[in-house]
Amino acid sequence: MRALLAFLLLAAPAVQAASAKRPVKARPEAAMSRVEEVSGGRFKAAAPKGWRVTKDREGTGLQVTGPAAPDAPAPTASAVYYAKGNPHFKDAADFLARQTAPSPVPIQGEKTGPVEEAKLSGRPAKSLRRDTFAVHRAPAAEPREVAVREELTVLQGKEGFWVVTVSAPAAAWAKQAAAFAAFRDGFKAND
Amino acid sequence: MRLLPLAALLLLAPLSGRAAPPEPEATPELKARAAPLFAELSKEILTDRDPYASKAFLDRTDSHELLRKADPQAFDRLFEGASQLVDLHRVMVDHVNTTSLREALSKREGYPLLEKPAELLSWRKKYADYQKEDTLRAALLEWTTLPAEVRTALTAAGKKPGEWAGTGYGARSDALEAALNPAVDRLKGSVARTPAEAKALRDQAQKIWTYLDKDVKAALLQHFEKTDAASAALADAESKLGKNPDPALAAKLAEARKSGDVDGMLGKLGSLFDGMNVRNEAVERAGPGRADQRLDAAGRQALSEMLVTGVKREMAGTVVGERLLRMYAKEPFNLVVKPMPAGIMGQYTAHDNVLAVSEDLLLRMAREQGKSAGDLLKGEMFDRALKSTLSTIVHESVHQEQAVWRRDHKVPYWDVVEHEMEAKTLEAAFILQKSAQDPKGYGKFMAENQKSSVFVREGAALANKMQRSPETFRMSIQADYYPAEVSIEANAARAYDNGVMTDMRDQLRAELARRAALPRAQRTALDAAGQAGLQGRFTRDTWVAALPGLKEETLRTMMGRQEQALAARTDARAAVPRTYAEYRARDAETQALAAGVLASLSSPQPNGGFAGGSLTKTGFVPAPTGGGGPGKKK
Repeated sequence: MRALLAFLLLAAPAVQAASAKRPVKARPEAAMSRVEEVSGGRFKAAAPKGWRVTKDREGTGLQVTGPAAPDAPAPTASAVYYAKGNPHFKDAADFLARQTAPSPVPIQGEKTGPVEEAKLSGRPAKSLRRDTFAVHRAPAAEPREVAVREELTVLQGKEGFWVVTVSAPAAAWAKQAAAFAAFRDGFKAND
Repeated sequence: MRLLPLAALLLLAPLSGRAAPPEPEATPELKARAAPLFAELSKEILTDRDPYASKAFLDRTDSHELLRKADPQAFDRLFEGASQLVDLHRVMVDHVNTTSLREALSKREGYPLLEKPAELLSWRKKYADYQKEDTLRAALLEWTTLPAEVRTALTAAGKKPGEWAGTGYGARSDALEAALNPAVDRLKGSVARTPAEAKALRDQAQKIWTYLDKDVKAALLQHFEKTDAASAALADAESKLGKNPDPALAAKLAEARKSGDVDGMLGKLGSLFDGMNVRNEAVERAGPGRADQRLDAAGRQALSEMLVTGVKREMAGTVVGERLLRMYAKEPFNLVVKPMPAGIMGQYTAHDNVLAVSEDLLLRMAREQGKSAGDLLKGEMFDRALKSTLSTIVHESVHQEQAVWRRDHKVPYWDVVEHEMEAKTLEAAFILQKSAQDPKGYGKFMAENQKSSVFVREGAALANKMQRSPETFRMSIQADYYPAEVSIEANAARAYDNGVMTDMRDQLRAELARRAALPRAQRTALDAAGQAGLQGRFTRDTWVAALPGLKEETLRTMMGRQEQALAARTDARAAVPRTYAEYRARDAETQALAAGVLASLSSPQPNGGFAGGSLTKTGFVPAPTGGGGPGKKK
């Protein structure tokens, strides 16, 4: 009976089936808390232990947010997949071009480094580092400007492309380096 | 803090819920087809409380019609239960620290699992064991996780560990709030005359901090900013006056020191520093300012009116602005300038349909430029005021448009994070397109004033983040700005929860029954002394305690309205799937609109400018007709 009911009620479409899967449990000794499967299986990523996970409903990406100092934004790492035919970018090269193109609202004092060769998910990728600014809003306190560093790694796939972004206050960048490296290393693209 | 929207539920709001047309009778064949499905789903969702089975059920919309026709009540129970379980499971994933998890749970009071903490702990073990048990126990306010100061306050309020174990999360929160209120009131009424005293106040608050409601924390932080500023300023004044001070100034200092409330102390200190002809920035920031640095009612009114005209002019020609102007062609634009808590730039409140901008922000800008409040109404200073608040006003106008949309589409208010995503997205799209279209005006202002205005800095950061990677931007809005806000799915779950209203009806019924059993003379005396209505806001317990003090006729009126409201809400359950679809469609339209704006921002021109995306070139999706939620704060 159970099998029949499952057929009647729960058979395809398959898109949602992925999101209803039970999460893969991490080994107790794993440095990362658990593996998140995102974007209908387009990639997997793992959150550093104790970091908060936010996934968008469409399954296009996820962000993990680390513990914040009281007076600065939290460190974050995110991964998104831009599918072929997305309304924003033709491909990874188009995405990278926008990162270095002039903006209608240039950020005063921002510095964007050169596009460099990198690896992501064991494949050749491109990366770019940017020193910019964010505004931190602590509860019931005046917002204040904080210098922030971010690093983007972009990987072109057969159809779409992936973007992994890590970001932290510039003053805390070195402290987060290991967590960021683990997030990047744990990222698995899936064509 | 669990406050009941009594005015809306009982006393003020006319009951507008339309009864749904009656469902056609389900045929025996239909019922027979649905019966095994109901049995299986009931076991998985209502008995086993399996969030994975719940998710599968919610996603399989093709089965909903069959089940709803066969048994609408049973379908509602399943939909409600499944929505709650999926939402609760997501909460366990998203919130890994105690404070964040507690805040998320507090928005879900009424979920049956939350009313039985022991069962929720077992559920975690079975379905969400990646959430640490200790974290969940602390978030659920289990007695042994509470610090000594809090347990002492609860004990003083008559609570005991044994009964606490059987108390639901909502009642625990209420009891904790009531027990901590005296300590909070003492802190709010305190003054500090030295920096050490100011620090001691913060230390006292720290002991109970994690158990305080967000609004209480905000109020205390504001108070501590004042006590810090006042105590530091007292020391500064003393040092500047020296050993042989001017007697008049010394008297002012003594008067300030004697003040029993911190606002009075700051006012007197402001006057003292003026007398010394010295600036003290901490007092200027925290205190009321000099007379010419404040706006009176007429000044506020004039500035508000000038901003309305200016904002409409600046909105014209942009995709987002034109959409809002179409709304303002039919709807009032009630913009006011008023004092707001620190850190809040603007706010739209649906109950009075008012869009407010922070007066403090504008006055500080004038002070920093060495100008008076009156200068805000003139030339260059008004232009600065307009440009620096423009994107905030666009953001809040989107919330107004959401309220209009709900009204026009006849959908109920759901407090969804997607509405905040929409407001931020359209704000960023507006900044980008406006800067591109007006590079010598708005664009130049946004580019050149980031170091002097944190609000301009934030607008520029927001706009660039969206332009550079729209998907990363959208996700970061929820994660960075509104981590505690809940999704459309969570709101769908809430729409089924009649617990609070049923409880209130039962309390009214009990009070009327109690009166009916009293001797006639006693009833008459009670009625003569009774109040004709309730004023203010109440927790569940204070509301119940107030009922015996009301006239019987008032109780009967409240009872009648409560029953009507319950019936309307129950009827409205049938509309939840449609409401869900409407909210989702609006969200998709917003994303398409933002994509259209981004696509219209062509590459830089040879002269370094931007084409700016004209309206005719932008293939955006037609706007939903409409506008925000009560109390949207930016």
